[in-house]
Amino acid sequence: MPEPASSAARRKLGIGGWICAAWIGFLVLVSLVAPMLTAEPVTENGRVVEGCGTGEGLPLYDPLKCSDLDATREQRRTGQAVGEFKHLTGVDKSGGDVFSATVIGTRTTLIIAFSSIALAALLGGAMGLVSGYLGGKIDMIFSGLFDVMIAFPPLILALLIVNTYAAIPEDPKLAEEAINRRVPGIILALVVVATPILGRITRASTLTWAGREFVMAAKALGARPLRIMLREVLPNVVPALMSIALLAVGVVVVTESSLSLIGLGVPDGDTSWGTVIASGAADLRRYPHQVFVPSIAVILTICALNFLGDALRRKFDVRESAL
Amino acid sequence: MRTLATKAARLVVVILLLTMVSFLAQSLLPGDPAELIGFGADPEKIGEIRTELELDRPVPVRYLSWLTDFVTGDLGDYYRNKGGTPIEGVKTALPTSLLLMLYTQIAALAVAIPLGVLTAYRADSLFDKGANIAAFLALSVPGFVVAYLLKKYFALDNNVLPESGWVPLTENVGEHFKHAVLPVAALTLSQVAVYFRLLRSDMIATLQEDFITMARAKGLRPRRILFRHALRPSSLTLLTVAGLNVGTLISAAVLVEQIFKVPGMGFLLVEGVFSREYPATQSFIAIVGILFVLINYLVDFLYAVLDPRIRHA
Amino acid sequence: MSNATTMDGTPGGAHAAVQQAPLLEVNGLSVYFDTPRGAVRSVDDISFTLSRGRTLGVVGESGSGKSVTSKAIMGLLPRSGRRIEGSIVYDGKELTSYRDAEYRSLWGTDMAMVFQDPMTSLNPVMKIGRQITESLQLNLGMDRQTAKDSAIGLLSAVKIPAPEKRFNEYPGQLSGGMRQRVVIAVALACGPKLLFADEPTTALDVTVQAQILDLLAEQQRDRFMAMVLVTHDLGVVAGRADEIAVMYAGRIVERASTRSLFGRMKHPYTEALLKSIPKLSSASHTRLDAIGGSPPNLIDPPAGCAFAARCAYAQPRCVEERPPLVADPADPSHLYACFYPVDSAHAAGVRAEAAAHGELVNAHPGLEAFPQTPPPFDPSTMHGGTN
Repeated sequence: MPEPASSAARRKLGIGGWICAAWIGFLVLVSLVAPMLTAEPVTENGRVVEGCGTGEGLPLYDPLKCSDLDATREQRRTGQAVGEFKHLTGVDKSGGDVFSATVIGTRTTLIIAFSSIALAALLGGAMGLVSGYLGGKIDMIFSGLFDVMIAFPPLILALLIVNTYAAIPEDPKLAEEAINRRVPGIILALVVVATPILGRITRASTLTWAGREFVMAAKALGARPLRIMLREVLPNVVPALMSIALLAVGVVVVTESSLSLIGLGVPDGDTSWGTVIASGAADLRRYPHQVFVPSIAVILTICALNFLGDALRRKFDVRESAL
Repeated sequence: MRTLATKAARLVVVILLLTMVSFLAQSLLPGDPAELIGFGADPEKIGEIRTELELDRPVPVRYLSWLTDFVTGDLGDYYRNKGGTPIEGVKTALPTSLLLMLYTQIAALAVAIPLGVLTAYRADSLFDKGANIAAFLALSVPGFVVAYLLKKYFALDNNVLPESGWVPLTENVGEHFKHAVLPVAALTLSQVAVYFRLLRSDMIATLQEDFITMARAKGLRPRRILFRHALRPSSLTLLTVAGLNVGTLISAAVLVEQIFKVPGMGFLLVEGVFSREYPATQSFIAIVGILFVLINYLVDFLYAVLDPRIRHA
Repeated sequence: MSNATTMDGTPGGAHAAVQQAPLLEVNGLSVYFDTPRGAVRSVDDISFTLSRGRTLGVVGESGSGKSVTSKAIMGLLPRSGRRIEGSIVYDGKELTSYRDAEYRSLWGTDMAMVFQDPMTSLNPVMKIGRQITESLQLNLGMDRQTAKDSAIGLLSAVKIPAPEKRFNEYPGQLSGGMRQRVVIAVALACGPKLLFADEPTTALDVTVQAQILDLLAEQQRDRFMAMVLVTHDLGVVAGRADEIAVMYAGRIVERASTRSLFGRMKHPYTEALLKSIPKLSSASHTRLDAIGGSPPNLIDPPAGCAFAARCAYAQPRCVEERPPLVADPADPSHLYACFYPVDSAHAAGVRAEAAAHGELVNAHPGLEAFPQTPPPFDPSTMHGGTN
């Protein structure tokens, strides 16, 4: 045995697993709580004061009051602004705290990532289950569909869909409508990217379970296919699906940021990790922190998801080759 | 060889479906494509665009006529971009992208193979554990983060390497490689991690095989056993994954080309997206998709050449 | 303790009469493996000597330590998690302290091994010829052409038809028997003095088993090698070994010249092994006696005789006290570890009683039931040796 692992360590999550799970839990909490913590935008004569917070700063990290207008934009940018706390991670072009923006962006990023993977798991799971269990023509169609979809590099596929479904035209009348369609468009694109991956693993796992004795027994007792699929096969297929879905969430988080960098991400007015990174990347020389601070969140999240996915795969002995 | 023929047939079907998907996407555009493309232009120009896109004809007919043009290398014209046609763009961008990916694959394999072989040989050593943790971390860092880090450190802060741009190999070899270093390095890191992990686990399994014990009993040196006896059977899986991984690589390359302003397919594609050159963009996407499918077919073919077990089966 | 005794005057190879200093001397060899549940003593205090031109048959069930013994002497056991005690002296050199790099100078040129499964012991993606020539070139410094010529010579020596053609083929293109011939050719390539054959026919079709064994015996004679023939089948070694060591639970339980072993069988386990092999003299469809029960746990071995639990003749003493390996007073070269050997009065009594109850108990088959020369192959009666 090349990798001796005690059976106890294999059965439990281990300390690393709990840390990873805690990080994901923390992110969910942050995305729920963060909007409540945002400071009111500082206004003067009814207009947002530039350089005085964009309303996206947490009170903790954007402690400057309007009376501190003396604190110039430059001071805030370099983190030298006076106040109860410094901007530890620097500020963006318009004076917003980068850390705050990252915290705020968590919500949109997580909504996009988890909803797209949840939908893809439902869709891919159902297709894979039916395809693997029933076989025949349905299997041929679904497997063929997965093959073609996987033939597209993921980012290209996402780009194609967002560009088609939620391109923002110059015509202002059409633009408003398109902006509202952007986030659903991104989710749609990510669902299309993730569905064949999750569908394939479900199909492969279904094939191995569908031949087991207890499934035969259920068949012999006259249970209907739908019942067997949901009651006998599905519970056994879920671990494999889950472990790959965790990895897929990581892929989707990166793709979301990538779309922003290309200019097809979450539209202006909304903040995600991708938008923060993209606006920093536009002026890397002056705002590198704006790229790297949210990137750390991205890296930690992918680390945690990969670790949990690996642990789950080891536990249930899911083979990557089945992909 | 029969399997290769069936695979070729499958290949054609997949490519047809692929072009169909990328073409149909265009007809799903909300509103009138001609209006979208020609926004702000006079009605006469928009009418011209409409005739050119044959928007009054049914979708299947349009697809066939587009496909004929596509196959014969006619990608139409840009509507807004001045200077050059889409096909001219592809002619310089495609070799650039292919070269970028070739360098990446070579660099990734050059690092991953010795690393994977060595860690498999010394499995569970401190070095092995360190390499594994490093690979796990490398897999968790998105390519664009690596790209920005490299760009900031080597180009902006220390000015050792050019910040962006590309010099063709035929123009100036030294400058060519100078410009290639950062984009290639950015793309290589995650590839190394993928190949290393795969090769290591595969090699560990291979090293348990009887024929390795037999090679030892012949009195061969460890280096020869590792590289001549163990690596070859393990490298076949590596090859398959290298082929499949091209998809991820293409995705990463789109961004990296953007970040380092390398005029490859990704750059062309994003440019097309930004300037709303819908027809050209659809063609670019189809080309990239076909490229990916072709590379995988090539891998299948190489696999059959390299593995006598398949060749003589 | 040292039980090393050389055998003389037994029928064997052509050079049997030549008095030789032993090539290999194994003394009190023990091999332990660390497992999560404790150390397993796979080989327990075994000793033997072997001279050039002679063959030692090592016989035992799977798990008896017979393969581990040969791998330990060859230095092919994994480095981590195993411990070796005792001494292995090969050609005057103490091997137990040898590192891999030192062993490498012996591998191929001094000692070689024919492995059990020809399906897995050849590199599937390397041409057969290359697998032979590489050790010729690297160990003997031959140039390409000379190496190729001798490889083709070796292939024809192991009776592979059309050796020039086979030279350029891959293992996958050959049958199991042909592959085992290639494995033998690879092992013989650099002219080893000591050859280990680790169950060389277990994985093969019964029709080719005898051919491979005869080939090995022939090469051993021609090249005047010392050979250790490891097998679970007493029938395999019957006509081919000069001396036989029967192993059980990591220990040698009986060791004697082949003639003496079959003629004056001492250990009940040897008897049971013999009973479990089909014989030509019995009618086909005769029920074979399988040995009931299973070998003991080697992590926590029993205090007494390891075979006691499965032995028909076992007495309370056998469970409490481990029988030492002692010499037969009538033949000092015949060693056995048993308080109540097969030819004792006690054992005879047990057999008589069983016969009275109409049970078939380990009856002594005698040497006549087992011809020294292997019988011509007859598929209707040969069922032994298949796994």
